[in-house]
Amino acid sequence: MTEAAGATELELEIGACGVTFGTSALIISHLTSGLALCLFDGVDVAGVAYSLRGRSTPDERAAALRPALFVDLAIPALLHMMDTNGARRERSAILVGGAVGIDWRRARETAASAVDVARAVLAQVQIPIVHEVVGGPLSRGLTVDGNGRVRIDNARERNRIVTFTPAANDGGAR
Amino acid sequence: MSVDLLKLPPPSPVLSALLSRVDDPRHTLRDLTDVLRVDPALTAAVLQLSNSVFYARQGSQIGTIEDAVLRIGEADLVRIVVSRLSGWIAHSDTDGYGLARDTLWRRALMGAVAADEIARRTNQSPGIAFTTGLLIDIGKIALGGPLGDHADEVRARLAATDDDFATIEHDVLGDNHADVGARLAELWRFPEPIVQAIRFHHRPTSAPKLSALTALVHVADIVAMQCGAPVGMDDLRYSLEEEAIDALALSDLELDEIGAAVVVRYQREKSLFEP
Repeated sequence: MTEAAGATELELEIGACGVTFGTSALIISHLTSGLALCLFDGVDVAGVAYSLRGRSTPDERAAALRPALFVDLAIPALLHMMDTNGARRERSAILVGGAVGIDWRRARETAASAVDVARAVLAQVQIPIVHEVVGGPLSRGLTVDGNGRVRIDNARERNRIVTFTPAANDGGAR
Repeated sequence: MSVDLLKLPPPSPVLSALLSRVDDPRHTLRDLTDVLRVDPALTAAVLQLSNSVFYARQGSQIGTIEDAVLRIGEADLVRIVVSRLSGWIAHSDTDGYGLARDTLWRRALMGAVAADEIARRTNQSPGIAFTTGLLIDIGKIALGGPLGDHADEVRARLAATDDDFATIEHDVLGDNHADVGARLAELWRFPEPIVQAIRFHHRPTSAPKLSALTALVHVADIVAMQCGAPVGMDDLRYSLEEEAIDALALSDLELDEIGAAVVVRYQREKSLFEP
């Protein structure tokens, strides 16, 4: 974890999820084929789950040890974390990741499956996806703070910034 | 372009001696402990680990290197020795590849864990697989400086072509990290299967004979990238040669399980070996 000017930055590893507040940020420095699912309460709480695969079945052992590895388990776990940390119930989501730069059929299928499952599970819990930056050949870097500021970097797209304001939770990114 | 490999400090001589013995299918426990004895610090590290909370559940405190090796097993023994390499890799300058300090080590560790997981499923030595997985990119340490001098040219080629990174590296520098790494491994007298696996880890089907170890570290490297292993300027510009998966007889389900197991194990290994 790093700390600057009162705000903290915490690196999120794959298979983990976390919640952040205000200007403090969660970071994924090397987002390759995995999927970062980011939830915002539109005020000052955000959560990120960094998953690799869509469905947890039939890999029960890994699911028990690291549920956030799987999108279908990561979303309820992240919602629970946000609830216990006082987030508002009006939420919006963005999806980032799922790069398919590696020339390998299984990697492409896995990345696409994670995105599909995220869309399906979020639709079930009625959380709108307001922005997606998924697929493509390049890995990304991601920074998300509790105020809804999202920075996405890659080799060709430095400092692409998506910002959610409190009014944007029913609308989208600006 | 030629790289002066002799400028790089070699790792502990214990490492190459131990790997040579582990690579010999007739080796005994005594062969391994004989190697360890010449390094008091390493002997102390093995004893300490064997009496750690993780292993101490298996019985009372032990005080001999033979008992310690018996308790922790050969795979973990090799990993302890290899962990000596961690500091060397972590503190090496690989800025030329766009890898921040310690990033190469984290990437190597995830590849090593993936190699270990594949070895356990394909009846190969997890210790050798882990070690080779950790070493496959050592050529980047030697080539980091020259590549940094040509970074703009490399980036232009990455943007303008679909060539994989090893091809671009070779076109720009006249060399690539796989070949340089293999020459280093030869210089340090690592067993030949490890040298070959390092040389062909991006193109296993180019090897004169595709060995199981070469196939294994090739697949492990790609699995690690898929699992979020840190990347640099080379990003994800590598291909998987399906022949390697066929040679290992791994199914899609097993590959999925391996990916999940790598993520689960990586954190533990990182805390064990963090330099």
